[in-house]
Amino acid sequence: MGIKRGVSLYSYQQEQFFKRMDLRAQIKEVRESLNTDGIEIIDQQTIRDYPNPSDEFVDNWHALMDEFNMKAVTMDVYMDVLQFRDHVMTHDECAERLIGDIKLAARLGFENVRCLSAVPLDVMIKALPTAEKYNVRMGKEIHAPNPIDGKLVSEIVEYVDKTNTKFIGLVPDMGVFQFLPNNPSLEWSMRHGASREAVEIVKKACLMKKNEDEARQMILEGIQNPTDADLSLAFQVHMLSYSNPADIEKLVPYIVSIHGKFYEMTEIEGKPGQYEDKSINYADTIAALKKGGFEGYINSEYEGQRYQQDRGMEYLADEVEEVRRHHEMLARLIGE
Amino acid sequence: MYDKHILTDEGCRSIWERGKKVGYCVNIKINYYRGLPLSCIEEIALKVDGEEVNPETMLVQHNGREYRYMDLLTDDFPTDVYWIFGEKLRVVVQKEGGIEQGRHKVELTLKTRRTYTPTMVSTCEKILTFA
Repeated sequence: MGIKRGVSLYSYQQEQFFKRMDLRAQIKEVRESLNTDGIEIIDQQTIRDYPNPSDEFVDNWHALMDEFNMKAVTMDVYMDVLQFRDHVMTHDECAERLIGDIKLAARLGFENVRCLSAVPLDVMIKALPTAEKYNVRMGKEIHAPNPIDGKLVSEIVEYVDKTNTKFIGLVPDMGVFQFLPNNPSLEWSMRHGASREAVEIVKKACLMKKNEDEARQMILEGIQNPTDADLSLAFQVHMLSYSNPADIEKLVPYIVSIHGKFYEMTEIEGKPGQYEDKSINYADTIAALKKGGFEGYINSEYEGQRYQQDRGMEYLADEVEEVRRHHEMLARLIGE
Repeated sequence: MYDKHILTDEGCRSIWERGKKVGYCVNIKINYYRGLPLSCIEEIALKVDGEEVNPETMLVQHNGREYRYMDLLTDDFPTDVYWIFGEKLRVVVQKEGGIEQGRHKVELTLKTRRTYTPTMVSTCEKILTFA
């Protein structure tokens, strides 16, 4: 046993958008190149005719998962609370939505659903009888800028401690352990008018754990006549949680699965073939998860591609290679 | 998201009916990482060769169905009909005489309503070749 590796097919979204990889090619890549079995999906990205897929789609899904001997770990579900043009969805409408998604997850063989950070706990509690009946756990995503030791986490922990339910838990996103702005987004800012000097100031502000206003002040003081693009870099600071990796150890019993968020895997200096994401602290987080006895999945969630879509096709990110590098790192840190 | 790529260069052409050109079409993709209900479209606006297309002349075709564009914007449009991620949505402009074969400048503004971020406004401008 030990920590397991998987991939959220979110990572291959661009390949899907440009029709270069279909569902089969994505699953085959995870099995044959990454040598692992964990699959996570975004319902509205992967499931044709969501929320009512055809039997043909569902049969084909199961055939693919069987062919490559894969495990359906987590299905990421949404609510689109603004889908009705004339009103914001009520909590009851949200629960109805979630209940439908839980049934769909079960139909596709998923063990868990991931709810967004913004989903109120009472909506999850309304869906709890369905989750129990269909044996699907619900995990609330803990996503930056929310911290790993904040209210979103404590209210789940308290509820679980009080009720002993196994069907509500956490899906931490590795982005909460991000300590620097990701490089692709900084490169994007520099292509759109920000100066390298402002970028360096903002990186420094992050390492000093400044807040957005303080970072903005540092840019104003450090640069003569800063542009709007320079000043907007301060928002990067707002997006960081500054969470402490050690804090995840005690949360292990509540974790449903983990989003392995990353933006860019670069070779570690002096270590050919070994890669890291320079903006997220994976090493200390995985060490803490091991100490806590975590045996669930970390599913790669590559998000660097979105900062490289402002130029021509020749500049698009290589999602497949990025995920391969991510799994080199995961396997090494897990100690497979 | 995907702004530069939401206006595809595939399938741009005049539409013929009984030997006459009755309109033309372009194919667009969603500006997001997942599909959304068609009811989450706030606006599809087209400019062709600098001229704004009248939205009342637009039809939308997707996943085997056709809708009047203006119907998408009504309060009671169903919420379980999705714009499939990565799949083309064809916008048909009804116009007598269609469009002249050859290259035209097309400008698209696409606004989609999101859950946890503000409405995403994407623009894409391309020279497209029409058949």
